[in-house]
Amino acid sequence: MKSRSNLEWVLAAGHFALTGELGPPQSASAEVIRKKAEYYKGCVDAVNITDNQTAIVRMSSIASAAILAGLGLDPIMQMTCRDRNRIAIQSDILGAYALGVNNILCLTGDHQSFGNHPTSKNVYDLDSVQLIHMVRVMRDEKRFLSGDELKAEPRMLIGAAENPFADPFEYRVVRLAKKVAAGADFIQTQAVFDLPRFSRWMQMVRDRGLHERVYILAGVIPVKSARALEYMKNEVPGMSVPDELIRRMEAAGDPKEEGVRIAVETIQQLREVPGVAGIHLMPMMWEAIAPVVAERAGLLPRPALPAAGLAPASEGPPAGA
Amino acid sequence: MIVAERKSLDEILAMLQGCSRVLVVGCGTCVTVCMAGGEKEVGVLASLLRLAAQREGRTVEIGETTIERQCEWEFVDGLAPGIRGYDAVLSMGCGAGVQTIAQRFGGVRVLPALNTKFIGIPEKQGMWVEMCLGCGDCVLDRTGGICPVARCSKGLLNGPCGGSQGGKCEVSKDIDCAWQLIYDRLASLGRLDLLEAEFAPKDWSKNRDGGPRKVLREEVML
Amino acid sequence: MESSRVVVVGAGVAGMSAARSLAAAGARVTLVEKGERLGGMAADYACKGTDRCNKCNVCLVHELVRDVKSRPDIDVMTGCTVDWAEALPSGGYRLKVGGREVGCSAVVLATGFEPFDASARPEFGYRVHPAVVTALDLEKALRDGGGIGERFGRPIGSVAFVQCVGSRDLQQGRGYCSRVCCMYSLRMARAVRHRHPSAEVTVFYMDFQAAGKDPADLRRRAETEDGVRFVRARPSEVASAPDGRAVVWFEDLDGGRCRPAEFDLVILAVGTGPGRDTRTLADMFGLGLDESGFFAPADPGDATATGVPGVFVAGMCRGPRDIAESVADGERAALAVLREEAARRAGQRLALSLPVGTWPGRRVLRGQPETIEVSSTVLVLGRTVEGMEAARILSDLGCRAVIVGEEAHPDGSSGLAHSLLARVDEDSSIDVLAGGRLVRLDGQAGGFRATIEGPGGLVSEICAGALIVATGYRREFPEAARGLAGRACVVGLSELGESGVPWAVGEEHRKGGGGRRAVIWVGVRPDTARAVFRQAILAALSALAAGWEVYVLCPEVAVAGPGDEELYLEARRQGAVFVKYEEEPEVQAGSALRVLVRDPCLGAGGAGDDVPGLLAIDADVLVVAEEAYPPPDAPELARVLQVNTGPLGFFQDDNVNLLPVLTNRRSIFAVGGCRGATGVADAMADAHVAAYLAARLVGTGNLHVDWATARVDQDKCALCLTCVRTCPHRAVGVDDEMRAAKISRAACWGCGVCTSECPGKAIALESCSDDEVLARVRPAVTAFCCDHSALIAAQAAMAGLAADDAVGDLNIVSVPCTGKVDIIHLLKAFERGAEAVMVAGCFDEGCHFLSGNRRALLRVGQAASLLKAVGIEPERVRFYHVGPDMSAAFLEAAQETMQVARELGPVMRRRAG
Repeated sequence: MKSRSNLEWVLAAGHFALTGELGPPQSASAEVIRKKAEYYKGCVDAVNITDNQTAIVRMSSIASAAILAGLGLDPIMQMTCRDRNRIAIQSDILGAYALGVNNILCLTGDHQSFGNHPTSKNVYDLDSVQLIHMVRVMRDEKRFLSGDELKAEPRMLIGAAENPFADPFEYRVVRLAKKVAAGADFIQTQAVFDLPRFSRWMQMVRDRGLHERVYILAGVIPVKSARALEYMKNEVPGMSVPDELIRRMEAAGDPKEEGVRIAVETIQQLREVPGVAGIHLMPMMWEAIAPVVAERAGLLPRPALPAAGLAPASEGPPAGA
Repeated sequence: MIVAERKSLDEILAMLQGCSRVLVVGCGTCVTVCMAGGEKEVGVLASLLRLAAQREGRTVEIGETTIERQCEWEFVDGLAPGIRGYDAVLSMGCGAGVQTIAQRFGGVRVLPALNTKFIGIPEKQGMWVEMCLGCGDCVLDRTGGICPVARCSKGLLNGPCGGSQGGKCEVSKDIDCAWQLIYDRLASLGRLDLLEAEFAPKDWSKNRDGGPRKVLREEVML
Repeated sequence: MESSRVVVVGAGVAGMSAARSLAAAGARVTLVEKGERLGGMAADYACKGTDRCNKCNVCLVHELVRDVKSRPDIDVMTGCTVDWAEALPSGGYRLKVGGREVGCSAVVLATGFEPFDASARPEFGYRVHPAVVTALDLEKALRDGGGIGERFGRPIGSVAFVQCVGSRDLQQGRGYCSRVCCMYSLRMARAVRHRHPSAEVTVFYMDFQAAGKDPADLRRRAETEDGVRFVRARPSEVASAPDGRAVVWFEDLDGGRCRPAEFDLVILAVGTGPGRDTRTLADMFGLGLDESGFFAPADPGDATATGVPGVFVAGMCRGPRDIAESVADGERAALAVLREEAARRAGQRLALSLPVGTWPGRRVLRGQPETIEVSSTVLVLGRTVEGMEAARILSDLGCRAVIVGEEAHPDGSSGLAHSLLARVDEDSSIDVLAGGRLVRLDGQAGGFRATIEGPGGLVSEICAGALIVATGYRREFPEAARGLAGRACVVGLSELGESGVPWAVGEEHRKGGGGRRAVIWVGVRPDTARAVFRQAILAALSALAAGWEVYVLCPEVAVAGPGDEELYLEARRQGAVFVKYEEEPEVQAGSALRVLVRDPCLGAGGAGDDVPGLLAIDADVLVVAEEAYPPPDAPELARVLQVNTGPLGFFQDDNVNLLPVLTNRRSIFAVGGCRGATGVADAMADAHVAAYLAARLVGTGNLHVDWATARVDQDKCALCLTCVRTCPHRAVGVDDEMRAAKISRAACWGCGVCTSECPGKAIALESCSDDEVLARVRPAVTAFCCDHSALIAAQAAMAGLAADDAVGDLNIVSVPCTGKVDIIHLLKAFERGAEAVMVAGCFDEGCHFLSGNRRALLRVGQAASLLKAVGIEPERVRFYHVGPDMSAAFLEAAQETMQVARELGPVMRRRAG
């Protein structure tokens, strides 16, 4: 195993993985993290901690991930290239690992013009591919990016994101291949609403054999209203939301229920797509719905890590599956 | 060319507070071409300064002159006769021009009338766009002649971020996604293979992160 | 024979145009006018500009008057008629004019028209009912300014136009369409609404006879922006209502009942008839008249010739035409005079022994004269009939012509095309590069270098002084019928050939049995309909003759061409059914052809039970009139030529000053189909005018530039290319040697736009330098006035009254174009103490330099925001559109500006305390 990550064990064991996402508070309150963590306990294999998402200042992902680790959850620390140069990032990775963080998701990061400090300077010293590469070098080659020796390496599972709905479409799989070559172990995708396009992308992924070199977790967002969908369609760059989905939400008597239903259906359909290794659930500050969706999608209970810790993956299905 | 834009009149008037004799100096090179600080703009600004003073019932003396290039000692020298009679020199040159005049004439207040914006081109009459950052380490050979460092909002080297949609950047629909342009261009050149290679982290020491830069060519020195 | 004296009879639009053109070509001209002033009927017309130019072309009349007056080589005799004429044995005539004998080599008759006397239709109550006036009365009211209501002593809440008064009216012996009334009423309707925004305007009309570049757009604007209501009805009577209003009785479309509608003012759109002197002059010179009493053409191909040597006719005396057409007709008559003279000189080619003179239609300031050697070769793009005809005329005028391109010709012209091909073939002055394509054009007027790519990639370079674009148009089914192309039993109108219809086509396509029925669908734009409708009727007539049943479906019946109304009536008489639909017909799919169309003239009782008036026509043949589109390569060619295209994508801007054949570049002309003139007659007329103008410019190999142009101070030029990009006439290039911009004196129109755009102040306009403009700026409210419009209006306004009483001390600064007004000029005026500044120029799309007024409008906006930034009220700087005849509007604008100045007081504040 590359790491001490629960997620790695679940994936390596051949289970259909489920991860969730947790946004840290815009405050110094650890209590908020603890409360949200409750929803995910026993319901997902690992929890993503966003890194100042949409460039709005929140509690740091390192600190939040450390709190989660203390609660027995497996945190995936998100790390963007927007706010730190290569010196800060390497230093933060060492610190996070020391605090018990075993997964990192390497991201470019939303542009600061979207957030609450639009006049700030961005960094983008590295891009996400270069970040992945750097973490892999630190972990596997025990070296800093500079080439200097690294004595105690951070044994983190390396994740990356990909957006099959952004343009240029044909380039997306090239970029995925680059991330895999750079060292990504797993991929979490942008939320899937447009299944046909996702399937076309997966076909290209399979054509290149990438699904055999990296675990692909498809993103799913349970939505509360038609307006939320419309907002994503019109305002969020790189989202593809079919109109019939919006109409379906509009027509629903209980939109929240309909949103859950759509999420569950989507998960079931994604499970049928060859090469999809799991689901990444993004409840967008509606963390309470995560157990509901997981339950109704038939993804519970989650495989339990053997008491011995990180045992080699067994061939058969894990207990309870 | 270096593209600049005139500061707002309020800002200029504020920095000229207390000055009644001002020499407005235009530059005949880049900023003439980008319509920010040539002879015409000097005329317009001088007129406005006089009108603003008239409006307040003040008398001012606004001199107007435009020199070939504000960034060359020889041309700046031409300002010598008379410059000391003014309370301030309002340079309509780029930042290099303002500093050259200031350096040449110690003791004279030299003020910037422009904001120097970028190295760019007039994409069409009346619209200038940024093209080059002057990063000191050109990558255009690998990106189809389109610069991701200057033209991608994040300066990404390994392809577009997830915010690229319909050829536009996530930051604004008015910004083309540089990586879409690169992709299209390389596709038309039949060189999509260039996209597969990983760009190593950039050597920013060649940019101004290495400190103020200098180009030295000993063979042409006197 | 007295050489080169030409007498032009009639100083209306066509007469003045012919006189100006002949004088510019070196002839001595005597212009004889019966009335006391120049301008003819058109002198009473008003600019119908609203917030935009509505393309009435009346400004051209004022410009013509000024041009003619300013030419010493035109001898103007007003208050005179031709008393007698005597043909001289040596050719030419001796005329008795105003008690004087004048010898001349040629006579151009341009005696104009007589408006229909509305009192000849007493049921309309003209001169009886005070609420009934004619369109001419309204023209004068609009021209004089002020309220229309006050003028006629009427309220102006509702206004009706009654079309076709004295037109298409066999009872009055006027069985023809007067061609101009629909458009003038449309423009007047807009002008009335502009002055009286609350007025409701209704137009009672039979068929909309469109003309000009995009007439549908003008009508759309009238309907949507002004709420003008178009009612298809021919009123039978205008009666009095007890309250003094007028009651228009008209036949309701639904059910044909007669209905009344009350209006405050009823305007009779009176038609045009032959002038009173036409008969006398016809007898004097032995000319024929057509059945309507207009001078009859002897040769349709050369419409201004009369068949009598030395006598030519131009303008409305040979049939109804609008102002632009009359200007062109004058040019054509001048050409015909010159060609005849050339022919008389025993086969000698005509050497145009003249200073070329000013650019036609454009007064320019005098510059330093200079003679530039130019190429007398003219490159003709397009082997169309108009292209070949132009080449032929050029050859007659002593120029060499090179025709480049594929063969193409407009509808119904294959016979003409063949004869032209033969003539072009045997003419040694004409070369043909078949299959060639222009890929690059360098140089400027007089010295173009054209790169032509031939078949097989062979590249050749041709030097030419001028270019005539004659690439024709593309024919395709209109959008509503596009899906029908290629279907069995569906044919294009143009496929039927020019001499009637091979109705055997019906035999092939017949679905067998029953009567033979043809549907002819003319669903094209109004501007195209004018050219194809005649063909549609001819097709209908030949089908009728072959025993077919014929339906013609069209939104409007277009009968503005000579003889078209007669043909239309004949087709109806023979049983053709005309359906003037409002919604596009529908052709049902399936093996049989079933055409569904709703006839708004039919009430219930059609084939459809649910839709009143719905007809279901089972047709054996459906003939679809093709729509005219710009050729597919038009955008690319326009780019290579740097020539602007108009709203529909055809060549030539939509600007009144360019009609008929000018483009934004001097010595590049657009003729025929490529500029949207798709009829053969129009295309041929274009070819004549363009060939003539091209020959006048470069025919002698020397171009005498005597107009003022802009010049670059090359030492100051930073080569920013601003002038290259902003010159509306593409007259600026790069001088490679000097590394600076260079303005071609031959190509420059002298507007001064570049001088005020140049960020380095490196360009100056001869005879209107910035220093000169600034010298005229003094501490007073200042009006920068366009020489071509507002200045004329201002002069007229100031002449008519003690100016100071009306507007006080207004400092009028004339500029050749408002585009010459620099932002610095505006600011300087304020600096020097002006309390307010106005800029007054042409209407949008009416600018004599094409877009100078738009630049000026932008600059006034810029000045306003800059002034605001220093705390000066932006409303102190203003822009006004003022046509040359709008002295009243000028006064209003001036008073408004003075008012602003008074209210806001001096810019300079006294020091507080």
